[in-house]
Amino acid sequence: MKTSNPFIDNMVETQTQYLNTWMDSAKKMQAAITNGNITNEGQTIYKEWLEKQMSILNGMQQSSANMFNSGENNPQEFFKNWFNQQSAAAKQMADFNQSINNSFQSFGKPAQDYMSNFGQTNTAFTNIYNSWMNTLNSSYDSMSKNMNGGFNKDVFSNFVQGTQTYAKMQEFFQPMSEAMKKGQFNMEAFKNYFTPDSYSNLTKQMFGNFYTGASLKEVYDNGMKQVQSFFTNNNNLAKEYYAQVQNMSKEFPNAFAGDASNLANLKEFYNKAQNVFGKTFEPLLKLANPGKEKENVEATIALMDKMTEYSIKQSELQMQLQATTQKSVEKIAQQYADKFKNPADLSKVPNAQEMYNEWVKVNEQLFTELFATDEFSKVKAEALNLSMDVKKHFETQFENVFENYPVVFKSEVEEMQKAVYDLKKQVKDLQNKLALQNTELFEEEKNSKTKKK
Amino acid sequence: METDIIKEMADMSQKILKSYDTLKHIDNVEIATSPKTAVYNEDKLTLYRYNRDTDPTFKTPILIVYALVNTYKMLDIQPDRSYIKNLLNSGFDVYLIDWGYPTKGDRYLSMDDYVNGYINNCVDFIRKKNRLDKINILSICQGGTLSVIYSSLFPNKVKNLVTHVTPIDFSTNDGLLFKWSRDMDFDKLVDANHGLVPGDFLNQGFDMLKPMMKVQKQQTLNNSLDDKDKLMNFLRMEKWISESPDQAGECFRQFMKELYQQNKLVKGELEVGGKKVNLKNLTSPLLNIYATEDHLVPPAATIPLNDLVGSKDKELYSFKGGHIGVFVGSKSQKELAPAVTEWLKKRDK
Repeated sequence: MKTSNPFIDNMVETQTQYLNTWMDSAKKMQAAITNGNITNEGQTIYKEWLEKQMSILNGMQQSSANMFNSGENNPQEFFKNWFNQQSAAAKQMADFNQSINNSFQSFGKPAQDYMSNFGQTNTAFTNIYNSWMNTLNSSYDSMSKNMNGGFNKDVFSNFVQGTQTYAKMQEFFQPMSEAMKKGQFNMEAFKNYFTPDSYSNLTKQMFGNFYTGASLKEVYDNGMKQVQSFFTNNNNLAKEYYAQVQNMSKEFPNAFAGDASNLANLKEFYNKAQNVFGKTFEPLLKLANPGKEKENVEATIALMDKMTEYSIKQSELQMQLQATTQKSVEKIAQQYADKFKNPADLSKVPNAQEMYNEWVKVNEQLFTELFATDEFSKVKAEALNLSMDVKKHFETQFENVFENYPVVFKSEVEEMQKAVYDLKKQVKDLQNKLALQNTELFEEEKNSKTKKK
Repeated sequence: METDIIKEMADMSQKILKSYDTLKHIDNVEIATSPKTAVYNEDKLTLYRYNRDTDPTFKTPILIVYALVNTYKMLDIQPDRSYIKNLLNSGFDVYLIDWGYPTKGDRYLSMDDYVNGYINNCVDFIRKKNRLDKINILSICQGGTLSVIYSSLFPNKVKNLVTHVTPIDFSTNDGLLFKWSRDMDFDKLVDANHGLVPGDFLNQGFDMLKPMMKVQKQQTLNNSLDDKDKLMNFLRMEKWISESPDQAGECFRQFMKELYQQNKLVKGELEVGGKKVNLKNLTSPLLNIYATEDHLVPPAATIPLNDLVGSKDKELYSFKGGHIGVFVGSKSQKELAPAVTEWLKKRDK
């Protein structure tokens, strides 16, 4: 279908040609794998494919060079980038074909072999989709630069994000759909194959808002530097304590951001980490010289403890989301495995797109149920409250540090805003009273004139 | 199998290119295009009067009070789905409060400022201009709650009150927003956001009420690319969502703590500007409209109003649809606007 933009038409045309040659090469590659000639023929097929791609690309480049609307973008760069990404995709495709071949060969073998091959297929899928996503993202960057106006750009960005979620889901459903069609699906193998990371990535794709924390490592590192420097200047007071806390903080990145393996571990970690900075440095702070610098270090220590508390709560929230994501994917898998266990029904197994649609429905139901629980409501609120505490600590700390500089602080502006608000309110009150008084005077005057008449 | 994957990726790539091309050629998505004139300004508020080609056929003008969350533009989303246009075509003189976009300087605006200040000043302006003691108030969602409070405090200025999808009884467990808000610390939220609660933050909460809505939007846009009307409908709604104002902190704090958390309005404990709000003082005729599928303001939060007010003439109207469908759905244009007109017509004496 033609669009109104020759550049787009050209790009679509090129993409189609590209995919045709890819498909052609894929068939040749698969035949080579099946015949056991991949080592000999693989390179030739790949070279042939590369040359074809280059010729298509050159054609596109010549006819599209002047079609970029914005002078800021360099078409040469765009095409070069695009081509490099697609070449990487071809390499992934070859690997993928190899893994498909492996999984066919293991038909009927024990579950352990099957699982290993399912894993290979899935990894290959992940690679091929990642490669496609790289192509998409690099094209997206160039495209969005040409997009007029913030609103259209936002809609386009949301659209691309939605497509990414869709693509992410295909990693789960494409291998599943294919395995089911071949009567090879094994629910236990499927369950065991995906790691918490797989579900974490998928959850991030859907609920990115719960994964946008500050860089904790950076905060801790900077905080520790400040604390270390302070105590070093105070007769090297915290040498042993500093080493101890530094060891502790190394554990943090693993425990945060949904990486904790289960809630019990997380709670145990929380007990260990709660107020760890405050407890550790409290005795030393008593020995340190009083003054502004000491106050700042105390505030930093409090901030680091608050950050720890917040991070743990945020992880708890993320774990609830991830557990639901996993439940949803497994529910779909189980539904279909039960429905199509009879070999006579294998031809009716839905494709990945249909599985995706069903997944959206199941997700809607399971996440709505999760969001309606008291537990979720409490954790969500606690995480939000703690994030607000952290924000406030940061700002207080900022004001402490810059106290001696000629800058106006938020707290000072707020005082001024309050004064302006109060004054405005008084003026409005007075205006209303004056207007009322004028009306009353007018009415009185009117009445007295009427009486005189 | 690899053919399927390649086809899948080819489809996705081409859809993205198509969406890019389509969106690139849309210059401007316009909403709220019915002509109107600013007749009164106060701080960031603008009171509009909608232009009419003919004189109104009803004696009593209507003041529309929208929520502070999102904007009134949804009531006039497009010419053939415009609640406002329907009211104009029915013969009403229509005024509307546009609250504007609060900034940090507005952080101390309280419920008192909104009710006893802004709403009251707009009502007085219209009364004075039309030489009337009372006018009609047509209110939406949170704007309905504020209007109910106003009508209880100033019953002598309100001829008829129409509320749409208005939360009154916050003790319900039916809606997620009601549940979540009980666990939240609104003091921290307001203070940490410098007294201005971001509109985007509220939208994130609304999105979670339908967890898969964002994912489904991509499908909707996909399916709309070849149909310009469908595409524009989609984009207008997106545009409306994208224009969410931030919330003045003090009013937000009071609304969330005293209503959502403490349910003071229903308990008769709410004070606004030093005056206690007694719902029994609301004596004007009342038309209370709720939506059966409302996931933002569930019917359980709306329906109790009729038993709490002092009005003798009161009616409950059930609309089969959702919170937004009440105003933009095709059923709304055919069913709801005529019903409201008819109800007001009977009381335009």
